[in-house]
Amino acid sequence: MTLKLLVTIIWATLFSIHLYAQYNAVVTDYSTSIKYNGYELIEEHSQTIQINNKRSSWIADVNIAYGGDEKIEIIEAVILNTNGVVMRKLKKKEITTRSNISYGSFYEDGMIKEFSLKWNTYPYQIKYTYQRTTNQFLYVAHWDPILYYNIPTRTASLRVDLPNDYEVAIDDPKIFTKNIELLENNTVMTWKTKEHKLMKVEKFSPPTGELLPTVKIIPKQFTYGVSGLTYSWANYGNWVSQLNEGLDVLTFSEIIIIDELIKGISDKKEIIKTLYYYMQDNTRYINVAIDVGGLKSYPASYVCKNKYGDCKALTNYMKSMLKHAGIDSYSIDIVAGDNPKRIKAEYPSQQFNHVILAVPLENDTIWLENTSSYTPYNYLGTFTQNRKALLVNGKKSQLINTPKLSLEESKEESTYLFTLDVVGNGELQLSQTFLGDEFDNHKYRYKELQKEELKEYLVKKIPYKNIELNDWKYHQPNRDTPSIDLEMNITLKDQIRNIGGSLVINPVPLTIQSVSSSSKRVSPIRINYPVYKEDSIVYSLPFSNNYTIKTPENVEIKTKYGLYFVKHSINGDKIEVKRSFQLFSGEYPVDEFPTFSAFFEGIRASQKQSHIILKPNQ
Amino acid sequence: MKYVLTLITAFIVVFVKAQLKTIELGKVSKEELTMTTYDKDLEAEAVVLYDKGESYFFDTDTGFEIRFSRINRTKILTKAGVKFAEVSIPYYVDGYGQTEKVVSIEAYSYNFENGNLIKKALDNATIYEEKINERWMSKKFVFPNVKEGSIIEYKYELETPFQYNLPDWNFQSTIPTVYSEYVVNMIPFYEYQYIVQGTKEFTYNNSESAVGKDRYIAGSKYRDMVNTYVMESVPAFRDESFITSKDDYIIKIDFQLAKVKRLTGAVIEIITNWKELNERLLKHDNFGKYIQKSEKYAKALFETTLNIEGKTEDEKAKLIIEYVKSAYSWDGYQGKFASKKFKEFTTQKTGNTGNINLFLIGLLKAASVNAEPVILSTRNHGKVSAPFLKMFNYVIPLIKTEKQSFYADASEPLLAYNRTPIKCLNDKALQIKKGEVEWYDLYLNEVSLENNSINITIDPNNNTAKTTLSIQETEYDAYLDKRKFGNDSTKVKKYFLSKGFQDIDKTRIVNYTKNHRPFIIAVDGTVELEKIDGKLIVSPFLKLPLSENLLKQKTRTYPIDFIYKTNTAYSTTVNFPANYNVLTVPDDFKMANELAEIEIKYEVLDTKIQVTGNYNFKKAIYNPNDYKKLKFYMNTIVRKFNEQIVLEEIVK
Repeated sequence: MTLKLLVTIIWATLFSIHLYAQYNAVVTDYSTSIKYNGYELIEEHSQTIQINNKRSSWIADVNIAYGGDEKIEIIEAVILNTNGVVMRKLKKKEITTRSNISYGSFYEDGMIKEFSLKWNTYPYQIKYTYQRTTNQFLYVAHWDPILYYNIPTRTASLRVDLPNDYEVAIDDPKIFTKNIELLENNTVMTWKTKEHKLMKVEKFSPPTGELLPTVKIIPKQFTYGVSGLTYSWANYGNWVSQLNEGLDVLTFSEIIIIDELIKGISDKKEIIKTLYYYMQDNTRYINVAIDVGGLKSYPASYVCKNKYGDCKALTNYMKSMLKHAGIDSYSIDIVAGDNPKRIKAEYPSQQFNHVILAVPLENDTIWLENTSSYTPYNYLGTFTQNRKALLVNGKKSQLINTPKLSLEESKEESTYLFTLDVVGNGELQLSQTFLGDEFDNHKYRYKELQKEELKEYLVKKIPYKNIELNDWKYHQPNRDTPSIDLEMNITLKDQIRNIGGSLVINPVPLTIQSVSSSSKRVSPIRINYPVYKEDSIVYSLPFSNNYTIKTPENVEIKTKYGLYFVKHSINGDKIEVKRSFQLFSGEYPVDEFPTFSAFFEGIRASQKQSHIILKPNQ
Repeated sequence: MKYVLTLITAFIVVFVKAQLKTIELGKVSKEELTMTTYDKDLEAEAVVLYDKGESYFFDTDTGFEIRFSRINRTKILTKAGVKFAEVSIPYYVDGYGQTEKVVSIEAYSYNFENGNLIKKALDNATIYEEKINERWMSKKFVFPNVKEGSIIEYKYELETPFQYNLPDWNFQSTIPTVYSEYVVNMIPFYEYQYIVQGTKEFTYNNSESAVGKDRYIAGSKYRDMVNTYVMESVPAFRDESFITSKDDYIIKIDFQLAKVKRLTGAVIEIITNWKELNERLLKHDNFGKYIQKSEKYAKALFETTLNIEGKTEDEKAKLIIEYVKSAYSWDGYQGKFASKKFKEFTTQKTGNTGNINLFLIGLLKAASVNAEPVILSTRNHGKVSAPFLKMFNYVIPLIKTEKQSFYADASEPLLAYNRTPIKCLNDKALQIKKGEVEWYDLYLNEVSLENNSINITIDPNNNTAKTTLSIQETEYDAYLDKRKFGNDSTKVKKYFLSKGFQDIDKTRIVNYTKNHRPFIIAVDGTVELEKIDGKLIVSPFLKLPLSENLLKQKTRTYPIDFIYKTNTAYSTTVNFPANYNVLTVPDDFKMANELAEIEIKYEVLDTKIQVTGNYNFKKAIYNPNDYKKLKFYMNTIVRKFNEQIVLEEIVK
């Protein structure tokens, strides 16, 4: 027994040396202790981090963020040598405070405490402990053992101490060693984990936030602004409704404008569209988050006056205008992003970061994104399509699915008309039509960029070198169509290579995300929205009758994941290359990865054989 | 300078009155409301119609304070211009109980809708206060009701108890300005020096006594001196690449407190010239005295930790610099003064650049090495043009040994002991030494070398080539790549997979910490070859050379600042199988003049081709007149260094 233990210890020591010597730093211990005493939630975080070299000394610049309604106290901050001897203690006056305003936000009341625990001989350890206290919370714990994505954690633990009569839902992954200790008045639960390695970021996989092992403890009854329950989504949605109650009053002057706008219109869809246009043309996105502002909307009157707001304020304003027009609509709490963290339906709770509006009509639902001036009416792009979300409707709140972008709705179509002389100088007329993700990208830049910046962006997007963009024009057939056309006139040089007397033309391959055929794939495959690219490249070569044209083989790859084809044709002095790529949205288990990546490999291999050769006639 | 000022006043005064514009807050014209573009800059996303600042000294029970008021009216022309509706007014807090205050903010937006003027006032409840750091706060607001076509207008007053912070004024910004005016009402008790940048003359400039507005203090009468500066039709400053800093070129006026005159008649000279600036720094607790403390500290250090006995001056300098680099780390803050107290710095082992380099100077002096501090302005901080202390933001030692004279910076461990970071290469530095005013050129004459050695062995069966590559770099080229790759082979691998390699078997990083030796990155792997019509295409320099011209503008008005001189060389051997023939090799090329040199040569042997190429930019900074030539040279480099060799199988 003793011997075995000894062996284990030696092995463990060797193992950890072996494991961690390669890293610049290691979180040797990260422990969190959370206690709810019936009125306050007290969290204590303590972390010990070993810094092995100067390159990772940035970790010693500590910053701790906290909300405007939270209290924070730094209990201990020390530098230790490898024997655990304290080399230096942080003094209170070394701690500085600053505002914590996140990117894209105008103002937030959260703050950051900062201090430095740098030392000059390596390795050294830093240890700091801080306590965060709050009485308004939606989670008792939302904890994962990873402090930094690029630094491994040796041991981590979470200890939660709750009164026995305090009801919670617990969502905890199996990787933790869990222990429950039932005491007279309270219960102490612990979760422990060891040797937590680094997370890998892989293409076409669920987002990291979803893959992190996270312990979530949700109170069944809570007070945040107003009190609420989380037994069901109806409960939770009802709380959202109550928090935002009474915020739908429009100003008198706004009512006059709205009445004037919709006077004489009887069709509901027309009214919705009119009001949506009015909102888009007169408001813009500005985020100011104070107090419970993360979840509670500003009143409609705030937007009436300022003509700006965040997603909640603008959605509430739109909803209020519709209400005034006698049309019911519902806020949809949603996770935004093109690769969103999925809602865990079995744990009703605050899992959202965005809100949009749904207007149910007799046979149809109208979806409105209220934060951008260019989103078409009734259109959800890659930012909000195809996912579970919460329809907020008092006690009738429920999870719903947002509509899915179809393959046809994601199409990106291009026509390249080249007219070239024998050395490859000439002109290119490029016409493109964008839907889906690229529609959003182009429409945004078209609207928001200064002319010079826009030109720079477009030049970068043209896949050919030695070009001069002479002129371009955007055209959107109708503001309700989620598609935009772009016409470009380009002068080019050196597009033809002379190789041993033959002329060689290289159509630039379709840009397709590369998927490496790594055998170490960890996560399953997830494609959130379809990709569809099709183009036609026509080379007009007036000199070509002096040459014999040789085009590569046609290509056709069909798989369950998608399609790829290339076809060539020659018509007089014109050579045409038609290409198409389709990637379907879908989900596949990790063991399908080899066949999935083989699809991309096949495309890549065929793209290498895409030269058109013109041999001089004898 | 003062003479010039009064002289101009004498003849301008008569007709100028008409030129001065005033606007009434809240009254916008119909032309302003309905304009859709600015005729002098049709692409502008917004235009400043009117911008006026005024500084005024007022007395309080604790002395004079400055009240700065500003009115700004801006027209939003496109959606891209809407961002100018977000305003931030920073103010300074000294940390000892004194603070600047934004005492009032008024802001309005104007829109012309259906023939009506819609005016909206800013709700004061939507003015927020951001704490940027321990010294700087900011009042922030967003104008209500802003869209394309809106006019936004704001007025604010800021009061400062810090006479040394007399507000400066920028006449130019990233959007064009129709009218910009700054008025400074000087009082006889403070004297300022000012410098003007970016323009040789103002549209209007005047200095006159405020007649009929007598003021009194402690029984004595005085009058304000009203100084007015106006610029009209100022173009937008749009960013250009290869310049030092926007601050070097925009049109602005800066003030610096020079003298304080007490009522008793006593005059306190703050700064009048370079010499006094020198002396003041030498007496400063966080500068000269800090060096002295470091000198004392050094004595014990030399006895216990750092043995300098028997070493030459040059050896001592090197030893001490390397010691500070390894024992102390930079906290990320720049400064000419030490930010931490001496004791704090030596226990915490971390500090700002002032802490580290002043400490270093102290140690060097204690070791009888000839070292003096020089102060400078870093590249993003603008050039130094007058004895204004705030124009400097950095300190480094200038060291003269029996062998060489050089600068050092102990806050940067990735550079050789006798080099400074690139941010320091900005014009000239002022030596801080008693009794002398001496300036030293900061640019480095040394050329940064990059040598690429490539060996390519063609494998015709797989259309690939076994390739070994070794890049040796010196000076700043080495420094930049050390910062780019770290000592991290995965980063190296990832980078070269994007430069033509399809597989990488081995990577090596050599001399990452040996700053005095060339930095070497070596890669072994497989490169993919193009096979077209049975012919193999080989890029002798892989995808390493410049692939597009970095000089994109058509013309240039500012100097082209490459910061340092470079020489880039390639040497490649292509080994091909005996059953292959060389079908084409590109033409040799050679050009050389006083600006640049470009050469490339091909030599075909039995089963190998030897390619050597070299280009060098002979100057660190080029005159705008040379822009066209430089652009042409760069084009040539892009073309010639990316040319390919064609091999063909011999058909039996």
